[in-house]
Amino acid sequence: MDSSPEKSASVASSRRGGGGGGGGGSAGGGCVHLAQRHKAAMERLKVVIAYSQISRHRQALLVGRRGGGGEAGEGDRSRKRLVEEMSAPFCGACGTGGDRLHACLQCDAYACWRGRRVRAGGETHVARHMRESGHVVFADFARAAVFCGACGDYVHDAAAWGLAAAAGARWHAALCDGAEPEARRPRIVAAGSELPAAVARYAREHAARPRCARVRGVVNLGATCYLGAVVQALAHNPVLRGWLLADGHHPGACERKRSADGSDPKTLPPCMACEVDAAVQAVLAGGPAAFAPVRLLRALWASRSAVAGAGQQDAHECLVAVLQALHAAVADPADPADPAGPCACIVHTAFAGVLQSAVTCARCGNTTRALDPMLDVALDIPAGGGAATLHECLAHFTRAEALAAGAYRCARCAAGGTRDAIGAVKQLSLRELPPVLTFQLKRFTTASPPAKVDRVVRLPLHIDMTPFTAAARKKSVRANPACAYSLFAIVDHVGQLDTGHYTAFARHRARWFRFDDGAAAPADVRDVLALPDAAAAARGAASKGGAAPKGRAYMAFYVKAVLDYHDAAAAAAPAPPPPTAEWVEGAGVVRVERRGRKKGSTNKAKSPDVRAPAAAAAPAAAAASDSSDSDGEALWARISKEKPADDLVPMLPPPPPPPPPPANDDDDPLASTASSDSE
Amino acid sequence: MSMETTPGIREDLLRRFIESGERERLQEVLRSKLQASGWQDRIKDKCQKFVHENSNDLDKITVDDMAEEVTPFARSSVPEDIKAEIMEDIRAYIFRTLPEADV
Repeated sequence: MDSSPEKSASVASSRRGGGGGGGGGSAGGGCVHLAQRHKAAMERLKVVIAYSQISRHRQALLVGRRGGGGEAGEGDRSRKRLVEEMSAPFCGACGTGGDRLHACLQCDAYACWRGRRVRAGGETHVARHMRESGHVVFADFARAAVFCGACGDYVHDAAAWGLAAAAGARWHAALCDGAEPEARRPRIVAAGSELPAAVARYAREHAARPRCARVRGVVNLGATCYLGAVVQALAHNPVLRGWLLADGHHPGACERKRSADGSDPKTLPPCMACEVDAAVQAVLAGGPAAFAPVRLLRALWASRSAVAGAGQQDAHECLVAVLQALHAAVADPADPADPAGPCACIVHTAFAGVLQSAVTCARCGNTTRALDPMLDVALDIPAGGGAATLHECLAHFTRAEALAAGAYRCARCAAGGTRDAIGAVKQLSLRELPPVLTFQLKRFTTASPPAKVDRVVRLPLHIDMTPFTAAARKKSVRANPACAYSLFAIVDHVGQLDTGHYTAFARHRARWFRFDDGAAAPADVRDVLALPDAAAAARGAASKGGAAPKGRAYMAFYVKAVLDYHDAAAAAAPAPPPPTAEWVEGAGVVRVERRGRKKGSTNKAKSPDVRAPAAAAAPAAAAASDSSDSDGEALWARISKEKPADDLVPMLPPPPPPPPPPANDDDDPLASTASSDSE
Repeated sequence: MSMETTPGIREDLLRRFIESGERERLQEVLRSKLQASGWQDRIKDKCQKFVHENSNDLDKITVDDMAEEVTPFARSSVPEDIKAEIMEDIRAYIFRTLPEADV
């Protein structure tokens, strides 16, 4: 949320470092002034960051308490004292605490940006402190970005960046608990293959960095544009992509297993996991020509005879079919872990959330809650002028809806002897948010005559789902950092109800691309967000003239801004210890992937070390289900029994990782796009 | 406003505003409102444009340059209703904190 200034700062400074020559080669940092005082500055920065985290989130930390109840633990009391007694920092020159406060990294002073308009001859308090003391290195108090007064700009320093990221990860759990005490936030429990430690180490040391630097179109095999759009959305899904590239499903082992009874692998029904794996690898590997998903299409047809054959299909139905087949292919029915625990397959790990439907009796106020598993959220587009926003759709989705008298019979009232029909209020909310949240905008109405809803829906790049969670229904809660999501893919539909075309936008290495069948081209974020359409719709609503723009977005894919990885060893511990910094640090409990550091961390996520805790995933699942209520257990039991997969694949130790795609020093994703639009 | 004549009150109020956590709460509220209204996406777009326009001398531009360029637009494009709501919240806080003050 606050990362954009830092990012732009680091971009600007790294360029400057390269251009300045001089100390450009030292330890990744471009600023010689910082390099001269690096060690002392980092020591001070450590303190400043911790101070900054506490003083910025003091209220959130005060609320957050694990275990709940009356008895506050020792950790809580000390945290409370810490928060209450620590004063906020203030600018030494003017005594205010607001205006871009910076901490000097060479003394204890704080200075702010008041008196800016440097061009108009003003002098900021930071500049004054520099002039008076000769100190040049500062840290932005709120963002922990390092500012060099001599360079006149924020500078990138790997060590400082690491400190800030580590602090963010360390406080993440505490802040989530602060927003929602005892938050049951789903984490990514390691699922799938278990690499022996030796293999993992070998892979870590010997594997070349995977070159997922390119994008690639998917050929339209005759009215299969829906499949191309879905493949792009899957391939750029960070959770699924990480799992596939970390060898989550091994096609060789899969084939060996399936042909173990002597049958010819050629005649076996296609395995969806193998085909999705192949398709994602092919799309990410890039190539001179677009990728033709022939085998994936065959697997899809085999799993769903209804969609077999030529003809246009619905992209959402296609996605659901692919996910169900994928689940059937990889789910482990004989999982010894815990039948009541959540399904540990990648599909449910990544996509499955829980929808809550609460019905409140108008007479006695008794509320009945029903929980439903969901893989995506289907949103109605509310009618109205101009462009709708995703927030409006979600507010419409979670609105309190009056049920007609007679539609609902209250159990408590009935027990009390009242049998006549009375009204009730029904409200939907999201009980558990999945790591990857998929929205389907219901553009195709089932009313008669069926029609397409053309209203433009503006999709934000980032969305905070806190107001739409079940917890927020009970009382107003603070924004929960665990509910922050970022957009990574959109599937668009243009055309009519019965005939149209699907295209996709997807984010790849912090840049957006538009995929139209075989063509892949860089896209402006304005087009991704349909800003021109939204503006035109606003104008159209005002003037009532001209052709109103038509909404294209059909599905939107969001991923959690911070992905929590569940550490099995810690989860298996009898009681969750309080989320103090020491605890998280000592046990290495939370493994967090920051989207902001995409380049480095996506590769890390693919490397096998993330999967190391898989060995003890079973106790993790067991511990996780302990905290869930009985509704949840029954629910998950149902899910996991729904699709018995008979072609189970116990993972053989996979061979060392496949050789990387042909080395190409050009890291630019554009490199392959020019030639990839041949169909 | 008699703020200028009594600098002590202003600073004291600001300190309490921050230390009580009210600023943190309002920041959260404001952030989510701006996000919902699309303001953040527009500003980000503006910043990217600024970088593209100055891609020739990227070595020279600073964060401050960008802030100076974008801030006027950013300030003026905050939706009026959000401004009014946040203003109302701040005013309410001041009245709560200074019951004896004759503002």
